[in-house]
Amino acid sequence: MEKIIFVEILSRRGHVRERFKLSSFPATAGRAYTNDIILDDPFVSPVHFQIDLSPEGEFLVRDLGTPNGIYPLKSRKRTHEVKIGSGVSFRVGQTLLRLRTPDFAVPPAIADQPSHGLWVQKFNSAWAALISFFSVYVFSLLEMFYFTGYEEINASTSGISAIGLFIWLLVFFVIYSGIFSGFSRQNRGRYFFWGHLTRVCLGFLAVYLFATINEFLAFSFGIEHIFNYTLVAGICLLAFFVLYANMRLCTRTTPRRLSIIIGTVCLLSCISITLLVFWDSKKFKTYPSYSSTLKPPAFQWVQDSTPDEFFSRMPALKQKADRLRDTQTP
Amino acid sequence: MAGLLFLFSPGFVFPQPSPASTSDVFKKFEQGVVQVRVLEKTTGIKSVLGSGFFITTQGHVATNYHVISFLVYKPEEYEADIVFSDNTTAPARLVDFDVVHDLAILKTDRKDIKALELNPDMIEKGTRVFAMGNPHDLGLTIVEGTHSGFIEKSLTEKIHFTGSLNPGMSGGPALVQSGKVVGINVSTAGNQVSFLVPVKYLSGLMEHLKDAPLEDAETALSRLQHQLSANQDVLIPELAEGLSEKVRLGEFDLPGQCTPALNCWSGVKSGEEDLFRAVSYSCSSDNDIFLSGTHYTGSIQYVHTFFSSEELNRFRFYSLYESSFESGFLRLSGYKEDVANFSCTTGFVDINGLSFKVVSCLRAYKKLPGLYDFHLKAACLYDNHKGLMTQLTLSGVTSENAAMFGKRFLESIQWRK
Repeated sequence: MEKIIFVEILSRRGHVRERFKLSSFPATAGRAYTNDIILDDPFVSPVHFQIDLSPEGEFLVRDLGTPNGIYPLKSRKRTHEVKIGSGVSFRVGQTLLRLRTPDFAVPPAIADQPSHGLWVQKFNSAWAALISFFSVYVFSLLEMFYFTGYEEINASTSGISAIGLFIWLLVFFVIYSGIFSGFSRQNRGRYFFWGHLTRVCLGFLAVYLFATINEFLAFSFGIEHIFNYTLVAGICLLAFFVLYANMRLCTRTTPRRLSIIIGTVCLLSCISITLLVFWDSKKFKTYPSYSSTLKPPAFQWVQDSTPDEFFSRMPALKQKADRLRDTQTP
Repeated sequence: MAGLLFLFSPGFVFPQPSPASTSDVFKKFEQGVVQVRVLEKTTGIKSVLGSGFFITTQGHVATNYHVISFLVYKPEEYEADIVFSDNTTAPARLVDFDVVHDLAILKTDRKDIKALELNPDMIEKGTRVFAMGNPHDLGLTIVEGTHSGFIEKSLTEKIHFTGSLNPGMSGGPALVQSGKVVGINVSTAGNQVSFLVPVKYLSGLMEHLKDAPLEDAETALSRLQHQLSANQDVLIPELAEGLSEKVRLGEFDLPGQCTPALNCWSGVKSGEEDLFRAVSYSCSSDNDIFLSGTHYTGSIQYVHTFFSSEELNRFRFYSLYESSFESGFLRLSGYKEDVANFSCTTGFVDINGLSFKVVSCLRAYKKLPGLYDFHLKAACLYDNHKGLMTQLTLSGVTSENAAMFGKRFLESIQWRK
């Protein structure tokens, strides 16, 4: 029976860069063009090693008297001749090689999820993208004209503001989605533009709703001192979901690996922002910093204290002020 | 006989001594007046210039605290000397000061001096007064003016002098015609509006006159802290008693002018197309206590603002309300060498049946432990289209007095349904 072996040239991360099928032996490998396998590595000799079959039918890799030799990856010791089984790797020069026989069992295919599933397909549709975009636009208009601001609203100025807002949102989201679409086309063969647009718009809405709810809850329960930190943590978490959803359309990386990479980036960003906020609070300021959030009376859910109870906190405040005095050097 | 008739003839008046001319006063008393200089030690170059005058024949010189404040804060870097009317100089050492009334006493070893006599008695409004000093380092001068009584709008007593004081004359004497000192030059508002420290405060300082110099910063700062603390221990409770004086703003009776020493103003601001209306009432003290070139203390300021709107919905009204809660001018001074950052606490407080969001903030003085700047802000949450905001700032107070005054201030707010 014909013996076949595959010689694979590997990258540093173990990915196959090139594969050679050998069926006649002995076969040689080196830099010279007379070899069965040509290796473009200046540290490899013109004819570096030979692959042959032993009398027992095992594959042998034999160094042909080269100055740099052969190094099996497992032992890392220079060797003259080594019996190589399927899946074993060795190094010649700076090149990493692996031998595999045809009976090597490959794992089953990974399910390509963005291309499957009814809900995922709906998120990738143009309708979903347009609905999401206009939801963001409507909420932004409400924020601008109904929930905030105390200037006069007349038809001409508000019309101009509304158009300006529309253009700004359109430009921002199109650029964002366009960049991710480019990556999707390169790695997955499709743009998924509407999918990216839907995800970023929904993410934007989620951040806005979270920030609003966070602010109201902080006011309602009187926990504004932790408002800054929960806001940063929440936004970083939502950013993780948005980036993960976008990146799933861009790469074939496994979900677990993608989660780890994006999660690490978001966590580091969260920590950096928190440290920046903390560091900024330590800088000298001539004015006091406090949460100035005020909401209509119906949103106050915590009981009032008496003036005596409130001012009983003065000794603790004094201690805090004294600590700042002692730690803030001129 | 004719001579006797002449004596008793109607219209005849006994000849009066002619009033002293300005030049007479100058010639008689110039030797008692000096220039005070604060010099940077390593270069010997002047950093601050002022005036002073001898108060004893042992060589004690009176001047203003603000002229020699560097000797209190940085005695290792600065020293003082005196320039006499004959342009000779002599070193001077700080022996005592009264920071509240902006006075200081130096001592020099020169003995051939003319001390001026003090007159702590009351003098009449309109009395001619002659202020002497060294304006802008141009040489000793004299300025004639009148004693126009005590100014009402000041937490510390000051004489209103209608004469032109200029920078460099601080610490110089203000004399009456007889040569007795009735005041010490301290400040000017320009346009012949100037101020003098009444000499009785200098007399008070002289009662415990010391010769030992105040040469280390710790002792001097400790004395400074003690004086400020004692002053606010008297002043703040007095001001708190005055909180019963009320002013009506919108639907509320609020603390008004708690002492005549405060300057109070009122104003109205309307939004575009009268979308909202904000009526405000504010009171503040003038003439703060000088600590150093970057730091003043001893002030009080409060502002009440009543907001109302029939056009804005509740969310937009509270957006307006919120923007006012975060902003606001704080009449406080001090750089990072003088004060630390504020620490704040927030809560909801029931004040006479209404709910307020209250913020209370405190920042410590770095070189004067036990003294703080206090800031209190409160916003009433009782209506979707109306609101009351009030803000109080006290500088250079203890935390106990801050809490006492802040509490009484808030409790003085009454809602008239």
